[in-house]
Amino acid sequence: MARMKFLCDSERCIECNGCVTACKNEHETPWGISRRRVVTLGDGKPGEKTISVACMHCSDAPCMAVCPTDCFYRTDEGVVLHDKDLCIGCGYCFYACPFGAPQFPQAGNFGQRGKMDKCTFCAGGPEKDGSDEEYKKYGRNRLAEGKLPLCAEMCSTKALLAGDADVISEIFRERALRRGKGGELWGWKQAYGADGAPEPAKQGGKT
Amino acid sequence: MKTLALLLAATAVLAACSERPQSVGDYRGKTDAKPYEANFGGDKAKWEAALRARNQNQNEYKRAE
Amino acid sequence: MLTLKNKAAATRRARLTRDVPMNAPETMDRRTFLKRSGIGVGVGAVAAQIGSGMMRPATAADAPASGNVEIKRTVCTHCSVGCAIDAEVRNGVWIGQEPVFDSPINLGAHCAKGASVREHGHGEMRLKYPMKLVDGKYQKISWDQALKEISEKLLAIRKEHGPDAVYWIGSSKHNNEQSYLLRKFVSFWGSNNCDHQARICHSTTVAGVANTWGYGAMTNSYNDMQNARAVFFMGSNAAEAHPVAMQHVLHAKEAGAKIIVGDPRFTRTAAKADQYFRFRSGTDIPVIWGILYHVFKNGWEDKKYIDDRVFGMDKVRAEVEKWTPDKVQEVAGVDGDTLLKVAETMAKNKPSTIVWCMGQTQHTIGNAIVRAFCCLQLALGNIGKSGGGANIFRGHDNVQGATDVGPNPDSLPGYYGIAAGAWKHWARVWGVDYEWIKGRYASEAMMTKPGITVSRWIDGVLEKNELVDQGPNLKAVVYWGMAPNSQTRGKEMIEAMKALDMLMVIDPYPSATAAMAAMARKDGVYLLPAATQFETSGSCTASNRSLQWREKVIEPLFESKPDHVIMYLLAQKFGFEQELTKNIKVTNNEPSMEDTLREINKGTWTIGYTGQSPERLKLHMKHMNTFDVKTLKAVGGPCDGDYFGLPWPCYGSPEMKHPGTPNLYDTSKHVMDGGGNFRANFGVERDGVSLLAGDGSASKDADLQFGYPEFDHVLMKKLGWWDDLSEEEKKEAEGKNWKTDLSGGIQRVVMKVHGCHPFGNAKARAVVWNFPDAVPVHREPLFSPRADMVALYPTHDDKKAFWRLPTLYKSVQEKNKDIGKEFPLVLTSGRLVEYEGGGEETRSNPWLAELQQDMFIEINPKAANDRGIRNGDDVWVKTPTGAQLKVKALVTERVDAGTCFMPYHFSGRWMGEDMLKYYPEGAHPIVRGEAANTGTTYGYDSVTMMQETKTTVCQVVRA
Repeated sequence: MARMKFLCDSERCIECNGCVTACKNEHETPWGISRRRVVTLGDGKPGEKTISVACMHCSDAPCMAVCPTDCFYRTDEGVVLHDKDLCIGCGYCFYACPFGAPQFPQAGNFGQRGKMDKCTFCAGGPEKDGSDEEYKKYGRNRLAEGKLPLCAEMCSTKALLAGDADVISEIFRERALRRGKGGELWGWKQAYGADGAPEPAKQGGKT
Repeated sequence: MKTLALLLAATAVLAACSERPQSVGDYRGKTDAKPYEANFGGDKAKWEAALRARNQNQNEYKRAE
Repeated sequence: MLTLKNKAAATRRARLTRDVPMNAPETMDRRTFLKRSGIGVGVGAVAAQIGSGMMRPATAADAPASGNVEIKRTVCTHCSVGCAIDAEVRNGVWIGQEPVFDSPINLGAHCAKGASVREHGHGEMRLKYPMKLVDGKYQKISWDQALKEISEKLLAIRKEHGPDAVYWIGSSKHNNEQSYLLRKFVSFWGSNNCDHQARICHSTTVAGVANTWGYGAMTNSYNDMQNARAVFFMGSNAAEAHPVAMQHVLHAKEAGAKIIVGDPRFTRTAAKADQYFRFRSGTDIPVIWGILYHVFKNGWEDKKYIDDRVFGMDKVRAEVEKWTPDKVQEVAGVDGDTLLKVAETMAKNKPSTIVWCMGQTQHTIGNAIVRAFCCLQLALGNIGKSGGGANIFRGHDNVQGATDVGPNPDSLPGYYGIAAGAWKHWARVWGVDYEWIKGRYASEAMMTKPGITVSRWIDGVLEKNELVDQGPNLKAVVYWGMAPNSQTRGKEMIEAMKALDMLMVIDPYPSATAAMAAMARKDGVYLLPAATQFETSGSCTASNRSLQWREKVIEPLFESKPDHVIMYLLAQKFGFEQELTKNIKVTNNEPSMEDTLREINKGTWTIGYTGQSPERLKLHMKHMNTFDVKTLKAVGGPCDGDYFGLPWPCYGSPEMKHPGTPNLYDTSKHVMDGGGNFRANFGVERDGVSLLAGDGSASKDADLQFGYPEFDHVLMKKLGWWDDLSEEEKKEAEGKNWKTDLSGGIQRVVMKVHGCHPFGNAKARAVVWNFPDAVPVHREPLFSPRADMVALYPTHDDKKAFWRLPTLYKSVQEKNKDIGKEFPLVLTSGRLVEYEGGGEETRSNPWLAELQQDMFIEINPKAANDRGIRNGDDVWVKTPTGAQLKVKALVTERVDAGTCFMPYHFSGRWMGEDMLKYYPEGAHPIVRGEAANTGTTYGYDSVTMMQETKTTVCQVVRA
């Protein structure tokens, strides 16, 4: 059983925003809505690090826990999705999310908060897979086409990985072994738990 | 002791998918189709194989040592 | 700190900074900064002006869901890496963009620009139809009217002032075929007054490198950097300018390669380096000599290599000895230990490679800086080796190709030059009469005199006529796919625009030229909408010299036409369309791109653009998966043995099946397997010393295992190789050399039969005696805040007629030697990853524009605090030209306390004023900002007329 995860290798991420733009392109999200962002720590100083962040599709998702309308569901592959028809745009999920993933497009002319929008792991939503309806509400459903999230597939340095947790952690593990450092992973514990099996072994590198 | 044994058993069962039991409100929205239905004729194994193969495109070591 | 301490803290932070996802770092990063500064005014205003059409999730969703999806394979148009793209097209609408994992160059990867190209398929911020400036406003006109009025005016100018009164600025974004046709077009118009972006990006590289070892291009490839054990970037910020190249670099790093970055600014590339050092802007030569000092001192140079393959290293050594660690510290601000470590890393981790870009080229001494860097590699014996080389990253997607075969003022396609012999060669290829071409020119002298460069066209307009080395001043300028804000001295450009009789802009995008012109004038400006490269087909040459064929993705949008169609229509009006397309099939006014490439193949023997037939290129595009990523060589399959994209030189006819050359000058391979050696282009002897290569340093299995001159019919006969030619070939080759024999017989026999190199086998030149500084020496920029350094390292003497114009050095430097009192900060410029070139195209793309909404200046906390400037403040950047730019201050330690940095992609604001009203309605970039070059100063390279943008001065004050 595939368990879909994202993983960003900060040793490779160069803050090029390819992921952010690939997402905008694939789902045609409007101005002001970025399902994915690139965050920089220590900008302009030695040790500067960047990582790409979106919904981490948590194993124990806080958004899901707090949603008053219970509009979230988790697919068999571990992708956290929601039904926009139920969403009331209350923003509670935004407060709960440790990664700031939920976004609220402006709706109407008075700046009301629209229905929540977030990364779908390119898996659409509860509408018919590949339908226009699904595309308009949630963007393209690549998983149903046998493809993986475009942000990771287009990553300029293959820093951002997406797919089956076992597969991508193996890819990452190989790199970490070669460099002999950088085994720590941003946000992995936060999203997937400290005892999650796929966390790569520490290589005694920087912390 | 008994509790510990139970815990260990639970861990063993769930370890494979690194899943932890959770209790949240039940989803109340529309039912989503399985991702392998629309384009893979419901053949889950075929879909998973396709994704697994595609995943290796993110690993340039497959093409350059 | 890469992990969050706890969820609650993160939640709190998220609540405080709605727009910043989480975990805002203490020093604000650029993006956070820009996002914040855009809040309220920026985002709202931008959202309002792009209108509802842009806000809805349209396009792909709008395309009817029925109909087959076609896949069209093309190549990104944003930089020279050459990333392949699969476009999904349904009913003529570009609905999806898929990664091409098979491409050995990018393996599916893209940066922000590459990931955004589908927007070209539906973007509304385009020039949609021909327009004309009437009473200060752009009005729509028909193509017929536009072509009629434009051609009548240009012909009138030609009649009154001669053909040299019109200046043609071509594009480094034209494909090879269009670039080539444009050089031919301007020749038939009767002038050498044409140029393009390469002048101001890598002209110093091309001249410097070609004069050092033969060809003016990147010697190896992005891919080959995977074989390097040390990579030294100096004056290149690849992480922003060539992001996908970093995939290969970081892969090499994982394999143990050491990454070194030397730059006045702590770039994002520096953030990925093992070693970083900062140096004072413009002191590249002292730094490089400071490194070489340690190489020589420790005996780390490759002595045999130098003996066999390098001329004049002793003279370099003498200059290097002057650059002791103390002196380098004094001039460049880098200590000896740091440079010793760099020298040791480069010397002990071979093969080691170097990378440079605009940081080295855009200086008044650019030609010398790049040659100094070449000398480092020659001393280490790294050139002509896989994993070594000089990996010069070019800028635009086809700037290499446009340099090779496009509109250059001093050469016909293929670096043949413009002497009579070159004209006769091309006249034969074109099938037109040499005398007819000559008749089109003002005189034979003007036909063989290099034209004005794009960096100086403004002086071609404004300079006193008696000082201009051609009959007329420039009266009309054609901007054909190039941004004006990438040229320096913007303030004077406005004056030049005012003085022109006519200005024509041909571009797919709202152009800063159009807006500047409407600000400067009331009439006499025409805009013609060109199609993008996704709306046509043709080949483009990546930085590594590989050619890739683009399929047409969609039909030209709105009323736009492909550039070569516009060329043909204008040629019709000028009456030379028959001559232009003698060997080229024309359908509905569109010259065949395939036939054009075949004509390029037929004539471009010098640099081996002869083997890349359209058929071979298309085959490569189809079977990308068969090429090895590290060597670029096809293993099996229909392209077996070829290198991807047949990187030039790909000698001989396509039938000879030369595989292309992955790494130049590589003696470890047979010439028919892409091997080679340094070029014999500078005679056979100098000062009594042979210039030919030493014994045993020839390419693998060559019949001649020693140095030899280039081949012509005489040498062929002397060697007894003449009879290896067929009777047919003999007829053509008689009296010719390897560059002019259209049968390709000489190349075939020399290479295939005898395993030798047609351009001979010589030594590389560490001393380029035909340049102003034969051995590179340091000279301070014209505008330097260091009067003490100006006194010690003065610039060149003024030149009277240089590329048809007086060019000043010492007089400017003298006049401004105390400029540092008023303008104490060094101003430098560079790239942002989201935008390209002048930026109008990318700033018109909402997916990219959203990511960078404000023009800014990076300033060090110390410099900011001394001036009472806080992060995010509006500031005025003042420069010696009297220009002042209103931008946001980004306070950061990226730059040191004496240096400021501005990105050069912005335009659309002019010294505080929004230029929105000057753009054609509905065709303005979404994001507008001050152009860095509005404030830049005078200063040009002493060989190529490259502009100085990397070291000038400014003062910053709170607005």
